[in-house]
Amino acid sequence: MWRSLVTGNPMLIELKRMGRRMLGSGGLRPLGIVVSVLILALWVFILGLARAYELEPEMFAWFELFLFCLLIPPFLYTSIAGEKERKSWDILLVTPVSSAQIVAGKFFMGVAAIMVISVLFSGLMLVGEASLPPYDPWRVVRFQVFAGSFALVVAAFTLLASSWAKRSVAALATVYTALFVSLAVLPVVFWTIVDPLYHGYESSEVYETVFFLHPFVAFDKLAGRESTYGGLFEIAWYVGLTAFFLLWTRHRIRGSVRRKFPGAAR
Amino acid sequence: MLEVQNLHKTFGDLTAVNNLSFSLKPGDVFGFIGPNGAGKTTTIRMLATLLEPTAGNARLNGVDILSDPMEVRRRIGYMPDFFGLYDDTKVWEYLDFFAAAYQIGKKQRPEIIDSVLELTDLTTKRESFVQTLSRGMQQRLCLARCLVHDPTLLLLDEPASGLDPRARAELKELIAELGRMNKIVIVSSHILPELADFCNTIGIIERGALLAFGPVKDIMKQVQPTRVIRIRVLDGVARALELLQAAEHVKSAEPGEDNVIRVQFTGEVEHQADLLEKMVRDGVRVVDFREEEIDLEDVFLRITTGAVH
Repeated sequence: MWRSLVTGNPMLIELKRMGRRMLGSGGLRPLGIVVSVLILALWVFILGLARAYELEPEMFAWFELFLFCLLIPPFLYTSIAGEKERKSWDILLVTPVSSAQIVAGKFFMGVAAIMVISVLFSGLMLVGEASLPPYDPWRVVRFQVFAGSFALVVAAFTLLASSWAKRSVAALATVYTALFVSLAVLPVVFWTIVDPLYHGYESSEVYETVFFLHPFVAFDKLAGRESTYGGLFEIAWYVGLTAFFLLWTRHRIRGSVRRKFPGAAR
Repeated sequence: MLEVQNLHKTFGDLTAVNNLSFSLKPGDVFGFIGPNGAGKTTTIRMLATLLEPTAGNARLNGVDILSDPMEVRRRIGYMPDFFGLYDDTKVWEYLDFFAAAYQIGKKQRPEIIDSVLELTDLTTKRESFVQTLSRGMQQRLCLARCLVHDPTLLLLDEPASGLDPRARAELKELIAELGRMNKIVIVSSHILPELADFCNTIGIIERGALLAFGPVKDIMKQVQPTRVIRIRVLDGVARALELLQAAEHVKSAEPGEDNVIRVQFTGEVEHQADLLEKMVRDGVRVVDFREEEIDLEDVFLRITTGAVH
């Protein structure tokens, strides 16, 4: 299974393609180099700010969570819908590649993007942590595992949306709408409708209970050391949701094959 | 050997493919001809195990497409009418990806890739990115992709569409070569004169039904049992007509414009030579004497009615 999905999965070609896309097709183009230098300069600048103003790692983790919501969907929204749009889907389906390998290969593309963002932010967070004694690097690790696990949910959900949509733009719109509604609209609705009914402290408890999976709510608890089991509960939920979305995506692919040729679904 | 038996596909009330039966042997290059919407792509998609037949079956070297589609997939190469390649991938990487998908070992892949690149004349483009290739080269790359796992059956749906004349000629030569390599090749196309050049078997489909199937020459003979000879004389048309009507194997002779006579002839080529000799010996001054050969387009137009679903 490990070999089929990871080391021997031909779909890992997606990682190479993504790398090339990020650096400009055909290798390191001047524009790619300029952008990379600019990102590096920005990173060094923020690092300097963190040292000078003793910025807390939580601040970076917040920003990282926001970036995950913003940047992960564009990495994956074309993964399946795009194949259908450019008519390469049928060619892929007639090969003996399994739906699990397709899903895993596409998902690793998202995982790679998450890892790149995580590595960039880990440096910032470690500097922030070092500037505020007592130095506790495990706090940064905890934040990163938490943020990373939420990013996996976003990646898996984008993949699912891409398997549903006929057009990749529709998949991207679906993911952003879902994120916007669940992370921004619903909390606002809660505070507008539910909060006046409670008059005070209890509403926060209800809010935290209802939105226990909201990454910013959960992260607040984690940063304030109020989180049950140090955030493991939420992380377990995120990992579970990721697995659920990935299995659903696989089911979608198998289902679309089964509808056309039942014996060929695998 | 490919055996197609009563293949049938309906979409609701629409019968896209109606009890199609034929068989092909290794080395057969089969031209699948029909107007748009006749059922060619549906048939090819059923054989590619992308669409399940409503009824009927097909067997490739004894392997049933219904009971063992995965095994059939290992034995076929499928090139759809419209296809996309993976951008940001080099030509050899694209082929390596599909070789890996067909579970070909890492060590064997470079050799296989080199050989299919050579066959499709893309060796010089090995390190190029697929998006930089011309349409004709992309078409050849797609064909190379179909060949990496050495399939028994190649299903090529409109492979020449959108290609310029030179690219079409190259593709034609390549398909003919695949036939010589003892593969079964099914090519659907509506560019009929080209099919006649490299197909040894054709099938004409209309409204899902196979109207004609067999070697190109046999079908042409079916359509036109008598030969048509076009004779042009310098003068003395009346004398020539008189002579022709009395001659053996001549079914009819009709004068046309510009001293041309069209003769319906039932004899063979030897009898044609005899007829020409007799006319010249009898003093008819023959300027032009040739058999009017019908082409695939004529066959197609005579067999089909132009009806679509």
